[in-house]
Amino acid sequence: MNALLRAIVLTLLVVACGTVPIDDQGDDKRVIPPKGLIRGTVTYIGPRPCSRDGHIVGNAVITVFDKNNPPPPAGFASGAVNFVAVPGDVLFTNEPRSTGSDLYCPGGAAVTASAPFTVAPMEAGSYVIRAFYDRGGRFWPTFKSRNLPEAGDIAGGYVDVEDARKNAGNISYQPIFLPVDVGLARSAEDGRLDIGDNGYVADNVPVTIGSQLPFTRPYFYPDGAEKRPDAATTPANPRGDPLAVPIVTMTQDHQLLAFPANVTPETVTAFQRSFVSTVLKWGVPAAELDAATDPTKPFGLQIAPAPPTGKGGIYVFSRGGPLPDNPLVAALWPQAGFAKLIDDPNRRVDPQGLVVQGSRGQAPLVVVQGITLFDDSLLRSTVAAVPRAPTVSALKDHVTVLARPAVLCLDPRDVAKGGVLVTPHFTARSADASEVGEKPLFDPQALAKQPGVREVKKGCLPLGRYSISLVYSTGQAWTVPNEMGSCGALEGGVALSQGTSSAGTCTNKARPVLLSQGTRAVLEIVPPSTTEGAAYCRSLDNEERPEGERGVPVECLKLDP
Amino acid sequence: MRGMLGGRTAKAAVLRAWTAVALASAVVLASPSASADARTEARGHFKKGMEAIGQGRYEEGIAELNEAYEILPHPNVLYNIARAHAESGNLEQAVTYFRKYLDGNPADKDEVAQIVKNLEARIRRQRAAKEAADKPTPDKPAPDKPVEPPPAQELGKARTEDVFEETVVTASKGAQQTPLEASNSTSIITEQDIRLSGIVKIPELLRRLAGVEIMETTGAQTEVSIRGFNQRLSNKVLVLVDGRSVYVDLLGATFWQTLSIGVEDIARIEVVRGPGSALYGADAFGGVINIITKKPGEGGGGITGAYGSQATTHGSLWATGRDGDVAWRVAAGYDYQPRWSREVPNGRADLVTGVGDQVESGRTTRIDARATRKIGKIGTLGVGGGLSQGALEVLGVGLLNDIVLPRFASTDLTTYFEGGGFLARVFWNRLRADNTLNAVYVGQSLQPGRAEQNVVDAEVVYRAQTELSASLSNDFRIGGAYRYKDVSWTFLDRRRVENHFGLFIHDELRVAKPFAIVADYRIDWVPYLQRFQQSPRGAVLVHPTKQSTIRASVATAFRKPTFLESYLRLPVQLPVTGTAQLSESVRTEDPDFRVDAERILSAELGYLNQESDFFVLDTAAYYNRVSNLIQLAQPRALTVGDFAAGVGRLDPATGLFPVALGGFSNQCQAYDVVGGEAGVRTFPLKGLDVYGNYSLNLIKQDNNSCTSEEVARLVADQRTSMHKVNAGVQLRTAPGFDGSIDFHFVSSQVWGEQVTNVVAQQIEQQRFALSAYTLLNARVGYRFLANQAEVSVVAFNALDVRHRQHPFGQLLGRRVMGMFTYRF
Repeated sequence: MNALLRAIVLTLLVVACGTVPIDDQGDDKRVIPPKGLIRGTVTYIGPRPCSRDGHIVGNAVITVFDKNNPPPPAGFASGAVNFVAVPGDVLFTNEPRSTGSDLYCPGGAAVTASAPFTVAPMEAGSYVIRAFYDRGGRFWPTFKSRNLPEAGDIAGGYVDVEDARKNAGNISYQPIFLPVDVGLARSAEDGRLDIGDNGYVADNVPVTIGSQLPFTRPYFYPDGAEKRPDAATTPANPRGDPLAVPIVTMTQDHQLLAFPANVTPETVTAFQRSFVSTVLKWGVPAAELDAATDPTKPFGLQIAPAPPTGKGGIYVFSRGGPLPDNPLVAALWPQAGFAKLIDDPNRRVDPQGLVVQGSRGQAPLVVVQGITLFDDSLLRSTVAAVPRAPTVSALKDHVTVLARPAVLCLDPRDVAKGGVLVTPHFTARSADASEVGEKPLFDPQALAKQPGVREVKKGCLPLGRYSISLVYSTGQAWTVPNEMGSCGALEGGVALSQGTSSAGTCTNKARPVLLSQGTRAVLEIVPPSTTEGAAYCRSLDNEERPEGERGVPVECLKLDP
Repeated sequence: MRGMLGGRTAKAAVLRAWTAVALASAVVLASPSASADARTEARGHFKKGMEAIGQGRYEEGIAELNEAYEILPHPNVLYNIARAHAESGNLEQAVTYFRKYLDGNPADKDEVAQIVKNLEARIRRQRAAKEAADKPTPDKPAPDKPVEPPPAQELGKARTEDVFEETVVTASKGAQQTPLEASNSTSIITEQDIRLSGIVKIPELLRRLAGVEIMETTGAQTEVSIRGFNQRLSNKVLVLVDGRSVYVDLLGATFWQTLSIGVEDIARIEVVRGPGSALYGADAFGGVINIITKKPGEGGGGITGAYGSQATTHGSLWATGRDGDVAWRVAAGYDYQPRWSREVPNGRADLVTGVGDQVESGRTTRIDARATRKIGKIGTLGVGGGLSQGALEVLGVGLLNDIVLPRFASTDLTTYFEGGGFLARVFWNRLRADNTLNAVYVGQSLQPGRAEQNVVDAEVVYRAQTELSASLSNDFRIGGAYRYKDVSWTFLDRRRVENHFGLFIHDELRVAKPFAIVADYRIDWVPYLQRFQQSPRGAVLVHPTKQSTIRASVATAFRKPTFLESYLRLPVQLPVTGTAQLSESVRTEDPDFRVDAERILSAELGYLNQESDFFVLDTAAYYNRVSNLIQLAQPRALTVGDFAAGVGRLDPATGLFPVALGGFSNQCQAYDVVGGEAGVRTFPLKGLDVYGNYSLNLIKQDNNSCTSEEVARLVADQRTSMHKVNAGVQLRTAPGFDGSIDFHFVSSQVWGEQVTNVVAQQIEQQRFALSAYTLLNARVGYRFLANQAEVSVVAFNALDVRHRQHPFGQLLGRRVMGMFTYRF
């Protein structure tokens, strides 16, 4: 009996000293998988912050982007991978603040302030960090109309500070964003990054904010978007909603003319006319101006009157070189682009029709690159004729943008591998009627060498609605359609106001609706308008697919599993 | 792979378990010196003894009663022994036993004291007469006359009622009745069940019952539901301790670890299946569990200590006493439960934890003191209080799915008066706790908070029993209840106070012996809903024989929204570091919005047979219609218009931008549940107590009230196992070896759990499959020092079948504990 008791006691002591096992099955939702994080210090150098009600107004907004897919103009990202805000109260702990209810913005010398930040969780990868100080406290991450810096905000990021110092005063300067690696390379040969079992900390990342932005975002509306046409159906608007009739359409098989060998005003104009174009006007229509700019209302846009009466407008100036597909035409700021929105004709998933396809990593990212014209004319957009900086002469009350009949289809999960550039035709007759026969529209080899392009394919364009964006070199951008132009699921429908005003209101939660920013403000790619065109698309592939997908390369329709 | 209980592994485990049960049974059957289940055995001796006494075989009868008393002491047995001695003319022994009876301070002590006085006078007279008679004269030898017993009317009536019959108080709110008389399916966990199982977690004791689902989600947290709908924080069962609700209104949960009692303090646990709102008001949705503690002055003192796997510790000591009309009982204890498995290993650079100790799951230090005083014939006054404090790890709801309470303190003060048909009770429960998430990524918030809940509950019940004729009797009860709740928590919009009122009536009309009708009705004022909630119940009981019942009942119940569901306001940080979902129950855009109470309509048909001394058969079939279950609401995206109203701006306190609003809503789907329980407990041999039960639960989801969009988001939920089997053996032997084996089989489940899809920024229902699992728990013990001391070894999940009892729960393995108990 004693031996038995001793054995029991010994056994109990052994089991008592056992350790609690680690849950190694991974399906416990409380098990937090190893991730990376970016930790560092944000340093602000700039004007003293404003304050009100005992609080510093504004926040330092630190956004993290995939190094291979930064936001426009350098990439195609429609949103940050992650972000964190450091409240002004935290960043400017020692800065005096006004307890009054009026906004108080002290003058005086620039101040320097810093605070720690952490962004987590992060997947393994290489990232760039962009940051700005939202001096007006206007930032709101979820809305296109409020998620980017405005005039007066202080921009920066994890940048090559030395290079930025050298370019101080260069208004066209684009900082070099340095990469932050989260994870360890698998091996000397395989540079792909992995996060180990214990997570990974990219530590001591210095983010500097010190460049005050001189101008506003390029607010615009497509000419005519504020009008209410008769009902008309398109594939993306099967119900014929008048407020969803696209402002501009382009057929899947759109045929461009080739650039004339003999450049004359007539031939270039004919060439320009072979593009689908849209006129983007500064700000909002007069009828919507009050609703758009009233700081007590939701939008509070910084829209000043355009010249000659005001200093507002869109700065149109050189990007420093020609277009990749036409060495005679200058590439201009603001860069114009069209991004395909998700297919949701009945607005079940995306009631406002704003979600960019590919932004959730579940479908290809499809973009149409636009051509910004100076003074509405290709002739006036030659490299030698355009302003080189955002000077007064560059300020315009509208800008004409041409839509290239080509789409770049990218895998949003791996933008670095490049996309497939799809265009319906490689050759065309010249815009100069005197030229006979077909001639190449572009040099495919030269195009294939463009950043972001891995292959050029002949194909019809993917059907759908495409948002319209203008982007400045600073990253400040404006996109339509946006939240201001329609009502969300909880806001109800749009009730149109009477008279000439193009502002409506939401039926459930009343607030102004700016039709100029609404669901009409898209480029829609529609089926070929002729039977020949449809036959042409069908002839481009042998697969049995729905009619609208015939001839469209699969890279533009779905992602590899 | 080890824990993935696939088909083959599961079958092998089941086979092993059944083999073990069979072997144990064989061993027991071969044991010639075993003794039977205590209550049944005592009951048998009592019956035989009373029968013998009735036939004038006093010596034999008294011996049987003595044996019954030894097995399970009961004052009525003492009384009957005393009376039998008196009847047999053994007046000195009669006085001795009557005095023992009086030591228990019975309600009829004055009458019995008079009997003793009469007996003593008679003894004196007889002695005097004997002495006179014993003075022999030469011509008159001393006569040898027998002692004359007193007349029967001088001794009072014999206590012939079946004192060892199990009784319950929960099914009819306070009145003692047998399960045969209960209008709901009722089960009891006895003190013997508790002792022989070696289980030290109170809720784990309930696993053996049919229709009861037990889910250990962490080392210290166990969730209990009845007839389905268990969940991470089980809120559909009302748990009482001696009639005092310990429901945590803040979360709608029962934190068993915060109770101030240990398993050693429990006399029995009554489990009433089916809706109980008609008597208990809100939250008695699926059933009621009433823990009846040992009464002050009853039993003895003792100390127990247990220690085992991963330093699992349990310790208790208790003492009780009586002084005249005052009785008292004091108990204290300590429990330490490690986690079943760790979510966070050492060395993680990307995480920050809320508590440094990632091993501890629960730790409780507790003390409990109760006293009663008899106030003459008026009744009994009881006072008492308890305190427990420690730490607890909880699998919570939503994104807060791993919460730690690094410090909690739970207090109760109770007083009651019972007598003359009245029961009045007032108690105060307080729970204070700090809370934090267990772990988050560096840079994210651990969501620290502090909660305090104060509940004052007052209740008055009046009972009137009327014998209208020989075959017609009525038992009427009427009562009123008031519940004051004062809750503050960092996660609520502000401190909230609610005043609840309830009125109820209960009427039991016994038309003839074999037939009774029971009707209950309760109306409750629910402040959050700003309306009265009605809960009717009706039952018909037919007794085909004296010891069997066919029972049919229809009842409704409701669960009111908890404080969390009613007043939550919490920014929950999303994986996009700078953003939060503002979970708010009082909706910014619709302040009048209310989540409705959950509802159940239940119909039950049951049959209970206690006819035999060798087995008890209990079966029930039921249909439940469950609707309005409360769930996390689909996030409501903030709109651009909200910015002007100040909603959606960065919260300077958290540094987060709200991007959506959350909260709670009622499910559109309802559930039709058909199920049943069948259980048998047999006592085939002395010392052998074998039980087995089977539960069936068939659930059908009714989506008719859902929109097509809602239907598209739903998954078929089969969180309650379709089949459950419990079986076990208890053994007590005369040499002192005790043991028990309990086997449990739970069939596979599919949980439709709500999870946050961060990419789509929406709450999604996703399917989580849970494999079937088996549990084999066993205990072997040895009693010595005249049964005062006992050592035992207890194994939980002895076959080490690694499994989870909830898809997000910890990974359970085997635990072994050694235990020592000494009773004095």
